[in-house]
Amino acid sequence: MIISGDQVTRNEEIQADVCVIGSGCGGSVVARELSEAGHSVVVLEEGGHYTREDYGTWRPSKSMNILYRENGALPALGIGDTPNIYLLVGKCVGGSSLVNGGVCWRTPERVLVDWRDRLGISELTLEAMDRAFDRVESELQVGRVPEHLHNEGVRRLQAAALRKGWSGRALDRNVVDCDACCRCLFGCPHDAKRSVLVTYLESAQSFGTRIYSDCRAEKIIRKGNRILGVRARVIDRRTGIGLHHLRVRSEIVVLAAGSIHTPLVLMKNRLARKSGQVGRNLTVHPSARVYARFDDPIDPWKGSFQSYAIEEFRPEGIQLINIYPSPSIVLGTMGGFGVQARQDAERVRHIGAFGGMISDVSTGRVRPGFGWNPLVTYRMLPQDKAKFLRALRLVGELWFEAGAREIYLPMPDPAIMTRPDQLDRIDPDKIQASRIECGAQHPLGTCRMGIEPKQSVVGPWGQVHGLEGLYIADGSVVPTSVAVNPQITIMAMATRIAWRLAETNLGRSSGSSRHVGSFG
Amino acid sequence: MIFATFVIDPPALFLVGVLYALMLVHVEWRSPTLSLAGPFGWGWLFVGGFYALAILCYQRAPAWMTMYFLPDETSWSVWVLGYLGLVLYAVPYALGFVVGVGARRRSPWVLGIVIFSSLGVLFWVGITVLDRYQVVGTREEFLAGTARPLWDHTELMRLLLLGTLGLSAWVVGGIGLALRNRRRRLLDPDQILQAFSPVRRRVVQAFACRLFPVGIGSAHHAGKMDLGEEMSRYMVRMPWMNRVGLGLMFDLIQFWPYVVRRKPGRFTSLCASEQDRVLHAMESSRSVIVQSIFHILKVALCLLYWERPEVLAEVGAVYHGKGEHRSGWEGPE
Repeated sequence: MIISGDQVTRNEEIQADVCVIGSGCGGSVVARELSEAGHSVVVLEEGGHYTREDYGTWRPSKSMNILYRENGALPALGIGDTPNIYLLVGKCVGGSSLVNGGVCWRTPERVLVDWRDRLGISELTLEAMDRAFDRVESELQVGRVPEHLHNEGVRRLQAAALRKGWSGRALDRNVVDCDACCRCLFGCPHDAKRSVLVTYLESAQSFGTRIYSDCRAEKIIRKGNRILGVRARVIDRRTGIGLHHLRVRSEIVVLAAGSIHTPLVLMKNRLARKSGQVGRNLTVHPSARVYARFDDPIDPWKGSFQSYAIEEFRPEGIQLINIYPSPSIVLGTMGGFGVQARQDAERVRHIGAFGGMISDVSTGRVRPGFGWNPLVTYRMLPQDKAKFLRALRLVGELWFEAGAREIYLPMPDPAIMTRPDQLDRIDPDKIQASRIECGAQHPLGTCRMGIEPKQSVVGPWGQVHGLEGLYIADGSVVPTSVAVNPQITIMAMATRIAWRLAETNLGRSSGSSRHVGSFG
Repeated sequence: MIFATFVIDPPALFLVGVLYALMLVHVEWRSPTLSLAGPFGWGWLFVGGFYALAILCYQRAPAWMTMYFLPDETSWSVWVLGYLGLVLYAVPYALGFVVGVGARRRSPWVLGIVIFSSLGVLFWVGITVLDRYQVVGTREEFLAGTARPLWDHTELMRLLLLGTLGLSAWVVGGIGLALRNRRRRLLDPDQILQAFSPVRRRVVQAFACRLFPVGIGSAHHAGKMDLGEEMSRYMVRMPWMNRVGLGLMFDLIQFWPYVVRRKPGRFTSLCASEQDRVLHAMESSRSVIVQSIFHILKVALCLLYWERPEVLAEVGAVYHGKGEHRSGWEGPE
């Protein structure tokens, strides 16, 4: 059952075995697994609840306006020679899974080995994770993008990669019967993308989970080291004004508000401060698109939103992947005004996009800003800058090999190149990273997992060090950058946390969550 | 002698009256009238309290109370001081109102300058008579240099503290009332929420006309759409920090020509080619903050303009969809 904010007309108090804060990739998995195990679960989600009947008919701007945090422009402020990075983070029931590209990768083995060897997290071995991966992938109906969904630009890039001897492959995505309308970023109008809204949360509801939308968790109630519940504020969806209070009594609280807001909730509640790691170690997978213009039309919006990736450079921490956001965003991110803007617009059918994303060793930090707004900062290290520029250069090379007439780089100078030899101008020593237009969709690591309480916020099973009953199960626990889209990693880790929780920390179920009364 | 004398500041009060009127003008300048009963009445409540205190003090120490204007101690009645109070509030109010309406009609900036100047005068007066604030005694004592410092007079200080607390409570209460009214207004579903002022919306509109010039989507040229209004509604859900940042960006665009162009003028008053130059200069600005906020602004505008199916169709971008939920590009607004 999903209860929206306007259905809560007074202060309410409810009792449940588990209270989950956040309904994205992590929270939905925990809710589903625990409710299936027979426990009463209440989910609190700050965003609203929308279905394909809503976002399926919205224009992109409205989707950006409603489904994203801060209209899709949550800034991570660059410190030093670092670009300001805009984070795309969902804010709705289903979280970012409703608005992501649906790309599914298992956590690379070398990353798991690194976590085991360097951080001592021996529980997350490939064998141990496999069961969780299988579970998540079957739930999300992950499958390979069929050939007919590649657009013309991708076909040319595939051929170019073959000529250059670069390995690449069609992506795995949690999309079934895709209509190729290329608007995954704004909410799939056909629910072909199997977001957690139509998979895990639907299933969780059938097991009795109550989901409160428009409800911001503000206070984690505790007595000493024991968690007693959560106090939340029901907010007006249109204005963001707090209306009523909702109190959830539960001895287990699972924080899954995402890598930006989970540390914010901890910091606002002055919890888990001993490690000094809350809000630190933010990695984002900095990414950028390179556009290319062909002589003939390629209609890049006809096909899958994302369908193909070059894997050749993954050992270097570079992933090249196709992405076509929308003509509006493509034209908005290309330079120029007046005549040049007109020319670009007239040739929009000829312009394709391909992205480069890096696995970052640089880190950022989340701090509390005004009210419930986070202040996010990020400092890009020189080695990541070099890697990032190399990724852009590789995409440029591929475009020229594919026959592009000119390419558009996401930086003011040099912005447009017409010959492959001009790519030599992408020189880390000469280009200021701060002037590159950079985005990111994968914030991770701000409450990282680890063995040592002084160097990590949660243990290998998601429990916050030193607090009984508080768990974290979202991207914030992922200890380092994973070098691939992290949806499956986050969900698999959340699955294991939920399984463990069901096995060890939750006693007999108290039945379904129940309304205790009203107050105030 | 607790109330041997007391501090009252007619010149400052005079200016408060002017300022109060000037600020009211900003709210009501389109239909100016002196009989703005509501604000005028609230002003009376404030000034009334102030004068009640003044009259009380006058009874105790008439010499000091009139020393600003009178060469010698004069025995004035309470009614005279009350009358002065009326004049000191009503006349400055009227004066401020007349000046304010004239200034606002010229430009909000002129009004701002007048208010700013008045504040300057207020501080100047305060500094000029600072020594008289700081001592307590009769006029003679003051002139003889035997008056005591104000801060040594604990009972008087207590009274001043209470007065300050009362005044603060009044101000805080007023702010609370304003916030409550704002909240009620926001919760009204018929209220159209806007993020930016009309001036800023005009800047956005002018910007949009350069971004989407005649020639693309000529049937749907940005000049025929109110993108400023759309942008304002689009941004209204952003956190206030972002709105402030973008709002300042619009101001920066509007006044950037004063910084970089030889022919100064506001952005909205420049010709198309000059506007293009200004926008190019901002896009390639060396300031990372300017560059990145400008980038968001441009993307947001493009998002609003290029999502229209009819505009996209003019450049050949036709989306398809199937089933009952056709692609949202073609959906209703």
